[in-house]
Amino acid sequence: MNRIVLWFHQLGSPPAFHRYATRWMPWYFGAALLLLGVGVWAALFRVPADYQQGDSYRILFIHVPCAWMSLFVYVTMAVQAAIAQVWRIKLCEILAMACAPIGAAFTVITLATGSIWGRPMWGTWWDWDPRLTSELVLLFLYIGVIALDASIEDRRRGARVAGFLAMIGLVNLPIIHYSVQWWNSLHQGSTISLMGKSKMDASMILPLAFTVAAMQLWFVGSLLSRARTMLLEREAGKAWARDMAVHETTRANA
Amino acid sequence: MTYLPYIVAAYAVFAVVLAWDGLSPWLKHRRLLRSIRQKAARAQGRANVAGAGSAGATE
Amino acid sequence: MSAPTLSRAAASMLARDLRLAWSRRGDTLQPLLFAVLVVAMFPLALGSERARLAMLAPGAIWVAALLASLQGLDALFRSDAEDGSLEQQLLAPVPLSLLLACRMFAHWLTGSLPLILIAPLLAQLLFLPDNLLAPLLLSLLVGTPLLVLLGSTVAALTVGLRRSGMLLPLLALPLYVPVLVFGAGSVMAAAQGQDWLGAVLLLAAGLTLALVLVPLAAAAAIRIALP
Repeated sequence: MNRIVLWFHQLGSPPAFHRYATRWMPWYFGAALLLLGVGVWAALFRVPADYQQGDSYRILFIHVPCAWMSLFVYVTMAVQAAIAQVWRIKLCEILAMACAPIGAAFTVITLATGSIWGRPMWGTWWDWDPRLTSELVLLFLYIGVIALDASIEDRRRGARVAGFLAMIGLVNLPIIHYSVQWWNSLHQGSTISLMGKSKMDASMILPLAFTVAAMQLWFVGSLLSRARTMLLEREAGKAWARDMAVHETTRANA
Repeated sequence: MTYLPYIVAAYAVFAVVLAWDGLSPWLKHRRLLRSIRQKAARAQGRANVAGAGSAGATE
Repeated sequence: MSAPTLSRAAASMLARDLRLAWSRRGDTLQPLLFAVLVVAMFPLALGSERARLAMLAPGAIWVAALLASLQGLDALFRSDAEDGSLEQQLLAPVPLSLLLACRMFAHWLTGSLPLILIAPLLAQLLFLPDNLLAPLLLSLLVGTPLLVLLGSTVAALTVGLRRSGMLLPLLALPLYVPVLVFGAGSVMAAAQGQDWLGAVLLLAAGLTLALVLVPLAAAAAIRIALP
């Protein structure tokens, strides 16, 4: 227990975190790409076509992981913000703000792939499907956090204020989701939802597991990458940053 | 009905957005490193000049 | 001089805000005027055909109320932040959340209540069927305080910014979505002959929760946002 606590404390120091992130980043990205390669190959070439939706459902294998991630990243962001708020940990402030663009990216992918998937099924690019409508509101929540953080000059205060907004948004997420579902049942009755009635065949679960795992690893890698960059930006004037930057050149030139 | 263009489009969007997510912080980090190095070099240059100047003055 | 009792502090804060609103009558009534204009835009954009306007009336009036609520948000804390009263309120011996709750109540009294009072007029402009007027008024009565409460929290977060521009609506709208859905949706449900009270009760439940939690959240937000 003490070793873990010690490790956390040491990681909180900027140069230590920067070293840690730089070291582990490539491994997370590499593992993610590997699993992604396997999953996508299986999704495109191994899994049989769906009897109801034909080949278009292959989009599911990237749409569903990104949809789950878009929610997971938001929760992570809010939790980091809460930790930063309660325990005043500077690193958690940075981690929370680093989550926002990654979550927004996942949300954009979810919306785009959902729309593309829906086109052959609905006949239009958009159908106000309840899940996609909730995703759209989620995108606005992300953009709000990013915009609020960007509009405050003091970086620490910006992260705290935007983090508070993220926490408020988290409380609202289930409410928004439920309200959109109710709204859809009121106005449209039942439409063909994106997932359709076909149950997931056993052969479909494995590629999905690969792509989901790949996206989780990608998230960690991207989080480390963005966090270390944000950290370096804030500490650019410090001695450790200068030493590290110069050291990088000599190492490259050696 | 051929779904090929839709599948290609969806996977393409996926690839492009992920690529942006992966590359943009990395590129920004490299720019930051470069600017820190340049600032350090300038400060070093000024320190050298000042050192040489004051050393000359005390002679 | 001992600290004032909570009720006296609340009453004096409320009186102050109402007096301020009255002295700036023009500014206070602007959101109301904006709502009327928005409602007037709908027939101009969609044509004056009675049946079509009647179908859109509940949603249009709700959107107008929502936009008007957004309009007034920016001014909620701005003048107090600018002249330093907000800092004074922070340091007061009375809980900040109580003072903020009074401010939000005053804001609702001066901004949303007049809208609810002229809602029958707006309903006539858009040919709202008579049987839908009660659901509309009830949903607005329960929903507009929620809009004020949710919007105030967001406004509290942006209180340090000099010119928030479109930022405040961007931040507030996702939080407004459930209120709009249940508020306008309850009237639409009534139009379809379905049970509409359930949605209003949901809003009422949300309002009860928000009445307790939001002033606390807004007070925390102001402390975080002020430099």
